[in-house]
Amino acid sequence: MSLFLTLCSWALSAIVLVLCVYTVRHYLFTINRLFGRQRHPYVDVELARWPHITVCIAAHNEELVVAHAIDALLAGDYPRDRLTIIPLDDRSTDRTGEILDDYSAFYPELIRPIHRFDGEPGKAAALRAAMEHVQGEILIVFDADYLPGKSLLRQLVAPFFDPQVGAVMGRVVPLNVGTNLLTRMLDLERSAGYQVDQQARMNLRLVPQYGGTVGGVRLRALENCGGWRSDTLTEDTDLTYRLLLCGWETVYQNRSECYEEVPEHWPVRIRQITRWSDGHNQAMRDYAVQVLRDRVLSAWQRLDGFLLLGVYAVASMTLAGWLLTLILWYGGRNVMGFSAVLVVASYNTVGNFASFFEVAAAARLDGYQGRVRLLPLLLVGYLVTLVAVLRGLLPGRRRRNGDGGTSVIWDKTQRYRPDGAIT
Amino acid sequence: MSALARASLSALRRRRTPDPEADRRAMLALVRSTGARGGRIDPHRSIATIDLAPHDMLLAACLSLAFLVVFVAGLELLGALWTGIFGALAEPLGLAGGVAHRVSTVAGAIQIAIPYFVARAPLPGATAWWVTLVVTAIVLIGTLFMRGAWLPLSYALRFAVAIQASALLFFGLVPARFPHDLQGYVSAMMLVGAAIIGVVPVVLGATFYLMDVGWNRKVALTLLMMGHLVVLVPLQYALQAAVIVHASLIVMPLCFLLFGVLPEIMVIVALFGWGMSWESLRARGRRQ
Repeated sequence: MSLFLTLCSWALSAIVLVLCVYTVRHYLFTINRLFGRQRHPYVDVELARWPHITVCIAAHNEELVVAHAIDALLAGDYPRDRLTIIPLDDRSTDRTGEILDDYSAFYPELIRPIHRFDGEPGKAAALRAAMEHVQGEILIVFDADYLPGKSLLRQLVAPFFDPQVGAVMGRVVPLNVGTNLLTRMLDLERSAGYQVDQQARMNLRLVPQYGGTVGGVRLRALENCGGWRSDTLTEDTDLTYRLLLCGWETVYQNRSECYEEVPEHWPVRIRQITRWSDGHNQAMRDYAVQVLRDRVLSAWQRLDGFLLLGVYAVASMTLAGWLLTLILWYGGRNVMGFSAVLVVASYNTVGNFASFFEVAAAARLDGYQGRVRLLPLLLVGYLVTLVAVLRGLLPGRRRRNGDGGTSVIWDKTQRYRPDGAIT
Repeated sequence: MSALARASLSALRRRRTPDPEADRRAMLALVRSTGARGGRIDPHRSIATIDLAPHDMLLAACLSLAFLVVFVAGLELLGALWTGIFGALAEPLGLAGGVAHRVSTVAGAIQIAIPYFVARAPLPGATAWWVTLVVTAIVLIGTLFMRGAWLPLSYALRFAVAIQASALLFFGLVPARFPHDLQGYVSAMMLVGAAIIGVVPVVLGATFYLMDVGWNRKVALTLLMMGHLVVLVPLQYALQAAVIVHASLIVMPLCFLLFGVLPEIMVIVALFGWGMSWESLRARGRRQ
């Protein structure tokens, strides 16, 4: 029993140490974003010989929103003779295909939908199927519920004039913020993730993440690192790391804002987090060792890349930490000279606080500091995230194919926008 | 002309040694951020930052240190206050035996007299165990019917159920090996509460004090947080002591994990969120 408690003590100490590392990371990112020198190297590119690009919109049963995304793209200022829009109708059973065909009839040269009726499910598989139709060297990807602004395409394409840039990511801003408590909390989370996390990584030349939408990829870079992988639930994280390991730079453009619809119901949010967590953990298994061993990346890039891969694993570790604390408490055991109580207390005070600071700082930078008053309620969201992450550890989102490989099982994210709400 | 523009111009005029190039850059920066009607044009949120001058950092460090010194100097008073609160609450809460205190030494030098209730909490008998089991089961079943917007609450309740289930298991199997008593628990948690109050100025020094809000607001928020906790901590553990004495030690694990440090942290976070929502000096200057 004594040996068991000793092992628990060491495990809890290790967990607290890891959590402290993430605390420092959160804090340094926030300080850098608030007070540091901001790096926006491509934001001033206004006039250029714009390259031919292809914009892909992945759509699976998106009849409520897909027309809005296309309308927003059509209202943009990217030269139309250098633009091809490929909406990907991925096995839709609603009116999505019909809507896309209507648009194609109006803009036959500009909009060229692809209809998939069978094959592997998922965005990566759909994008892979679209690759032979892509024109130009740059591929920009949007989800169907996104509403790009007028100049967004130019902003996303500008970094590609730098030949080292393999991918570009813009900022995602929730559209339906005021719907309920969940959407308000997601707005705070998104704000922290982009305003602080992503921009700080950009400032510090670390590992900005390609997010799979409101972003673009250079086709040569994509081919160089093996193309889209359809056996992962987060093709964006997967691509971020493959590009990184192949020596391509990913650029984050905080100025390139695009509106999205965030989940309005908790079960939808849980499914989303479960998918992200599963995919992210898969990327951790696939790339963590490679990132740490890579000799081309700087030491800070390796560390940041590794920590980024572990963000969902940390949630599981937090749960394990609580369990260990309870076990040690029942055992009446101290940890590293301190009582378990003090360890938990110090972590709760200092550890979690860095995350709250990050969220509050981001909202303040956004000019919506009134929303920061919801800060304590983020704990509710965190609890749900923990449950979703645990679910992500369970099997059930992959199936074995006839050829011996595996394919992923996708959950469709529910849309809430009433038809015709935005035109 | 805005207050900020006026301040920048007066700073230019105050320069003692002539530096035409620096003056030109400062003037250019001023013109670039000044609107047609003399107001300030704020940068887009994507590139916005907060100005942090060395004297801001110095102020943050001084404020933190000052509050910490005051806190340490006031520990004796804090112990006396908490002892007084416990003494006043012991009888109404039915905690027989009154109040005693234990002197704890922090960092080898700082001493604080932490009060605790002398009353003893019993081990759960068969009735208490079964009643707890039934209540736990009812809560668990209740969570199964909570859907939609109530889902987070159902998870929180299930989390509580899991902790209580562990207590049921422990006290069902090896009740005599439970290592904690009420006195030790209350005094330990009160000590943690005191430590959290002491950490407040340090945490604020590294976060809120760096924000562009006036020093008076920084002082006000710190006093609010520390003052709130000074009152909350003894009331919280007096209530917990009463619950544990009346319901037996079987509820102590739940009190420890869910109603111990967590409410104190939530108070800090809530007040911190409120403070971070306060208007910046720049915005106030623009309004004036």
